[in-house]
Amino acid sequence: MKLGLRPIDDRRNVERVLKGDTEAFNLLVRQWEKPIYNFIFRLIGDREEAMDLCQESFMKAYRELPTLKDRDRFSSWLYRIAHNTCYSRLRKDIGKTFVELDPDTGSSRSSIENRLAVEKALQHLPEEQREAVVLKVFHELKFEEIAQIQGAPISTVKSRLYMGFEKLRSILG
Amino acid sequence: MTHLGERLADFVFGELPANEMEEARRHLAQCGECGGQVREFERTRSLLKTSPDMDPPRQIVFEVERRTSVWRWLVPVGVAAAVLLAVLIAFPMQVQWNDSQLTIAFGNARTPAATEINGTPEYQRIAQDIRQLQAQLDYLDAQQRDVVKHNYQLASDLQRLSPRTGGEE
Repeated sequence: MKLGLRPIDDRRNVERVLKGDTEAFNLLVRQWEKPIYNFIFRLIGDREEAMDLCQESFMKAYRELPTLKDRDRFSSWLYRIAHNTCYSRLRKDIGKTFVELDPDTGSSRSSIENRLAVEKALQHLPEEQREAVVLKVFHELKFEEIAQIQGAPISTVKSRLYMGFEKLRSILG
Repeated sequence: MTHLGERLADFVFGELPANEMEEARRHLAQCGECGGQVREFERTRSLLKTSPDMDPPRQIVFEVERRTSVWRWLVPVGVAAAVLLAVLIAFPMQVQWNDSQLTIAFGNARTPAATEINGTPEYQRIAQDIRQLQAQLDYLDAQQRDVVKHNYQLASDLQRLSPRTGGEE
């Protein structure tokens, strides 16, 4: 889902939550749980782990919502929280080895095989490159927004994207 | 225009300003090297996009625990107490316990009209008891007056008889 698609709804729901309407937070969850889950899953590569981290991200968001300064930027703030949650988790997984790609990387794969191939290929990228690729390709964020989430200059984000694409091209063929 | 270089991703993802997009398109029309890079970039992006988003395995639902802190109730309870106090001051409360029936009334006690209570059996019974007690009281009062009168008579007789008795001693 593209960032800021429904900023007015997000803002209205954020304001309702801040006035004590918990149900409004569930509306924000409904709106963003799928993109946030997929973002985390593509970074982490494990579905159950991604679900737990997704839930943790929303809990943090609920607790820290009063600190959100620009209520029109709820979604990029939420991605930032998910980013921090994932990186805390990834730090614990240093040295973890991922399953090697099958040698068959031809173009005649089924959609499921394609998905598995992409998921595996993404896991071969360094975290920052993987995140830049995921946010740009799957979530269609602008470079400026990715830079905010990653806490890096736009030029760095672009470099990560180029390097990530280069490696993916060699893996996926 | 020079090669796209670092602007390649901006071009592919449509983030170049409109005038630069047009300029880039004109450049690509005549630069095979940049055209090849764009095609490679697009191809990788298309391959990635064959991996669709998945639904989360379960839904997240927030049910925030209702706080049961004393502080949560302090304000409403305080307000209720203040209101009750104000009502009691403005309208004194009357509490009556009659015949196993508790009656609480606010404001000045309303005196029931005689016609409301005269006919009740309870009233009749009490009125009869009062009449009997009054009769007994009248009887005892008369007895007491007789005793007092008799005592005065005795005292008078004693005074009359005492000199004669004393003279004889």
